Amino acid sequence: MKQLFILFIFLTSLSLHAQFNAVEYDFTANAGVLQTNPGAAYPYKKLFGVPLLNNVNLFAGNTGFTLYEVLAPGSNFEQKVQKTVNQLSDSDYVLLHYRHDLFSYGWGSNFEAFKYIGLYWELNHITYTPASLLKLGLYGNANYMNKTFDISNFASKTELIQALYFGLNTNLNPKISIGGRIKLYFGVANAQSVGNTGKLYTTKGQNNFYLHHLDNVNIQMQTSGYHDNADTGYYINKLFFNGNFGPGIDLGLTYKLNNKTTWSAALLDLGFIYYNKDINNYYASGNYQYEGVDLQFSNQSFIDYWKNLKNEFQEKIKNEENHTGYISWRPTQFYTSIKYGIGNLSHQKCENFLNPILNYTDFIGLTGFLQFQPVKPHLGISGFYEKRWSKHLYTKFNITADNFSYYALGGGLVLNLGHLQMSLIADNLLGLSDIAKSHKQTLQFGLNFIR
Amino acid sequence: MKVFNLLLFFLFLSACSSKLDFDQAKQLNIQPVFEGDILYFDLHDVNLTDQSGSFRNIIRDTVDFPVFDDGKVRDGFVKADIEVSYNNTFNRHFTTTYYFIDENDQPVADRPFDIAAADSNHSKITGDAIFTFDKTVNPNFVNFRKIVVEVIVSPDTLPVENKTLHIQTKGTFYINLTLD
Repeated sequence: MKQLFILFIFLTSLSLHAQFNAVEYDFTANAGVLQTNPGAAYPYKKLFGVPLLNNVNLFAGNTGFTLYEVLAPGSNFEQKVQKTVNQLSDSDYVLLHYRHDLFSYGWGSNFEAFKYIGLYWELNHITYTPASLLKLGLYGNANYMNKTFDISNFASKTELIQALYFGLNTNLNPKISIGGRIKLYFGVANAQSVGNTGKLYTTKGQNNFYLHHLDNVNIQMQTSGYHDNADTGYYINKLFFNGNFGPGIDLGLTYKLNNKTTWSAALLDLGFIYYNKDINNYYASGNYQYEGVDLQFSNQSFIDYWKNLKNEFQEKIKNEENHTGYISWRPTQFYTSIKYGIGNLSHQKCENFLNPILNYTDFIGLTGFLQFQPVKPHLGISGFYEKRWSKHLYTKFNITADNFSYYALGGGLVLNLGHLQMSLIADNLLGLSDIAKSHKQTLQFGLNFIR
Repeated sequence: MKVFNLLLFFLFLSACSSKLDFDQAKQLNIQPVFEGDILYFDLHDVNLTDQSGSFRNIIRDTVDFPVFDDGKVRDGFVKADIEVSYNNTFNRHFTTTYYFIDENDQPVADRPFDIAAADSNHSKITGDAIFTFDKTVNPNFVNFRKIVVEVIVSPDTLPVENKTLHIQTKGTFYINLTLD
């Protein structure tokens, strides 16, 4: 248990991006389904999310290694780090995500659209761990004189935001449900180094052994809301009126292809935040070549070679610091799914076109996912089986392949007790048997009053 | 409610983790090896005369080398291989010395090497040398901040016009760093 606690603290302290929530997507029995598909065929008319206890989502994942490979006790730490770095690729990354609803409330009727508002916190972190650059630091350049180190493989982004949203979900006709949500983001803190370019390499020199190249270097680090004396209280105070705002939109659609089959798609977090408070930006750009100091043996004057070298470098690689506002794009996600009803029809007096979950006891389907993120997009595909045991109990099982693992078994459970609904979603259930050896873990729970 | 709580509790209890030793991550020992150019020069006849036109048989030049200003680099330094490669078309013999001197201009190490004169049978003399500086042998080596290159030309009357001495120099530095 202590290990679990330490692991949790470690993961959440690594300071953060949304992730592929295959189980939640289009799990229409779950009152929180509109968060991943605003256009879901939503069966509820009233919603009240229990403040602070709803839509709590934690995700931690790393594509190239596991914590156990690095931190297993009893063997040489340096060897484990070397082995881990040696097995990484240039597009591996660490991704952390935490989201928490402060409140959510929704209302509607059979004759009008379902409307809902809410507020949530979100903490995202992504850092790429490019093998070539890590090897350069770990081993030096001596064994890699013919290798090109690509600076564009490095990117990192950490962001703490709060989002206020208002959404609509409606059935256009018996075949189509659509929904949308507008958001106002409040950027609390952000640090990002994205869109870097540049190559570092060495060729055979003409005047000396080598010619070292820095080509097309463009490195940037942009920060907002960070300063030395910042503590938790500082960031809580900045949750609302911090001056960093941005708009966002989520869109969703569900289309009934026939009596048994529905197709859905959703585009989430299409938006940005404009940061203009507590800004500190650092930039370096240019081209430079070095092949050693060219001694002149001048008989007339002393030459300060080192000073000249520094000046030349600073002329060629321009450094700039400024406090200018900048835009941070949200990690836009795209979901699509096809769902097929199987099993016995429920005992309905008539077929419910709008909420297919009420017609069938079982569904199977496929969900696809794409998230735009620095360096490499997050891609995923998931097959699922959804079952309605009764009007009180719904389950969903997924098997998912994405950047983190080729197969991860996920499960979702929705339990309705009167008007109280509890939901629990966990991805990579097999990974729970040993979190330290897992490439990703997701845990989400929700507590809503519904009608 | 009880059923749900039980499920949540079961899920949490069923989660296990192999034992992890976070303490070991407090320190990481790395042993990188960095290799790069240091200096080069082309010595021509014009370098062998002073402002009055008199022949100079000893010439020197100095370049700062502040890499060891950094205490971590100084502490982590293990050894360095300084590799020199030359080619000489002068019909003169050269004794070249690399002096590694500290902030007070005191030498902490020096490495002389001879370059033979070209002659009618050998229009170009080429060669190379590697000098190794091991901290265990000479702990003072990390105190050097400048490299003085001294070239002594053999006294002779043979012409020096249109001749060149080209020397190139690189270093391979072995570091052992403990990162906290």
